Amino acid sequence: MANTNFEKYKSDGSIQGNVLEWVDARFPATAMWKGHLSEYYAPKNFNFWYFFGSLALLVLVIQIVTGIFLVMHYKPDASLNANGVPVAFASVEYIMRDVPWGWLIRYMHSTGASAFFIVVYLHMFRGLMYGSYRQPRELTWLFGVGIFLCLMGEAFFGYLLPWGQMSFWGAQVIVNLFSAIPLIGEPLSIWLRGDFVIGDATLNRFFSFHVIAFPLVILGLVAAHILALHETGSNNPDGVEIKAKKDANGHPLDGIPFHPYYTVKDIVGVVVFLMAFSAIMFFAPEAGGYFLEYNNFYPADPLKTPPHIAPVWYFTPYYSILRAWVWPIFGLDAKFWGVVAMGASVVIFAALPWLDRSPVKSIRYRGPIYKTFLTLFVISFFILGYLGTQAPSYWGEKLSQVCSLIYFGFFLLMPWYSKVDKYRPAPDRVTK
Amino acid sequence: MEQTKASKPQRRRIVLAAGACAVGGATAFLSQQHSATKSWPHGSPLSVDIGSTALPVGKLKTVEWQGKPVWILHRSPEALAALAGKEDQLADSASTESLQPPGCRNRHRSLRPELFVAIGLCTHQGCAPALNGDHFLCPCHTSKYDLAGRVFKVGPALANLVIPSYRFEGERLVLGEDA
Repeated sequence: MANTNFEKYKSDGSIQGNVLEWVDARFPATAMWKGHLSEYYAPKNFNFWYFFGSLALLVLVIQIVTGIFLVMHYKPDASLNANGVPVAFASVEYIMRDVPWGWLIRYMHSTGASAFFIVVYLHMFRGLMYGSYRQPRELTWLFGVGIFLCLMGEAFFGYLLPWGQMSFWGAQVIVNLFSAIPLIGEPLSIWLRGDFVIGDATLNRFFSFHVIAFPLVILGLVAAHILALHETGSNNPDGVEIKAKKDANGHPLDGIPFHPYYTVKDIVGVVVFLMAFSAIMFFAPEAGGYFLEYNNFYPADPLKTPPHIAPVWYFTPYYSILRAWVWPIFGLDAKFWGVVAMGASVVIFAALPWLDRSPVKSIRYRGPIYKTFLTLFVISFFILGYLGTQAPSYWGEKLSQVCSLIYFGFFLLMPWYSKVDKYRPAPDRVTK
Repeated sequence: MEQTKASKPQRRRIVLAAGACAVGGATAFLSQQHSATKSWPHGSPLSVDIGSTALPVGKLKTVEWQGKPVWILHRSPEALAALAGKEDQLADSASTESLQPPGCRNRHRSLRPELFVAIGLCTHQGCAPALNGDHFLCPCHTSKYDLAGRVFKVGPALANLVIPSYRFEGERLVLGEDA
């Protein structure tokens, strides 16, 4: 029993002590607690940008817990009830009006969806600023990109469930994107829908993906993301490796144990986050039509598309890139290339560790070219996001083409500009 | 204790057998996705009243068939006349790249000139266009169709609206049966 490779807890004779000793002999409880919290040494110079990882975990928990309770009342059924309203739509209204506190649980879930993307976008931007994706954290980054992709799928599947007008026509447009793929496109989109049109079969399978398949994959990827991070240790705003300088005990000189130092610090982030979250959830859960679109308060009508349809805000930058491609090339029509460009705009994040050739990681020591490109990238991302919410227009199309060019330029020109850019040598130790 | 190693061909056979099982299982799980299309419930023909009281001149009637909106538009003589003379603005004016029954491959894209029948879904991404004066306009990406469902070059859609097969039965129109 004693010949295992993790540290054993020795009881002090108390009841808790005896229980822990018994558990520890059978399960690495103390070893995990130490390895991931009390003796996981994180750089001491984390700033507020480092709140968003733990906040993403918090939102994941909120979504899972509220989701469990929503499923108790929600019915994935597209047939019409006695009042001529789709059963799925009516069950959401039932949650909102008749289930005790149902409105709160549902608004937590709907606000949580947007909050998830806000937190994850800020988390990703932190990675871009401080070079967190660089060697040796490539796998942490790749698992993160995987989480992001699954999160997009999770959000898309979930959006169909209320079976409102935006649910229906949003899914109609997105599934039809696949029909643009040559040869297999049409059968593929029928296979995805399970029907020739968005219908009950589609609703049932999206429900299955939303509540079982994708959450499971996301949880697995989150575990892998954190395990990979704790293997290499966290990056920091200076982008220097704290493991390079250790004290006599083998602990990084610039590291402090995650618990209690960062658990306590993260509580501050959680409080501020929950203040903003509650303000939106209680006073503006629709967020002006951005978090919950007004047209989705009408039940799905397969005969009538709403006069203006746009994806939810977190998808609009990619939707703009999709619409920006208007040129047919290589004998394939523009619609197909739009889909390719949209897919590439998301997947390209995975290539970052191999595109960046800068000798330093953090923006603090990088030169003006990287700073300019990153600023332009962020501005383009916002403009694309805004344009995606708007009806198509001539100048909107031109602007989205320019912004798409900058978006891809940030990634594809990086091997060049990150190499020729000026830089200041990074210090040996973290600064403050 | 010495372990006996499986020979290479033995190993390969096991991997192949496991692979075949995986492929077979995956086929079962992927094929079930088609369940709904096999028992297609709305495929039966649909009879619609097109008498002059139900469908006066200028009226657009939308019925649901196969889960999709189907339009029946009673076009005025002026609207029919306006179909001529703008072929250069259309992407597929002769309907060679578009889907319609053979009897509908003409300028007015219909069996009877005044009655226009079409599936009311944009050929770009499947949104439902709306009647907007002398044309149909798609709300999603501004594809534009004339009153014969012929697509204008200005929008992203490339093909004309799909015309289902239909035939007449006195004062009624039967969707889903050849003329």
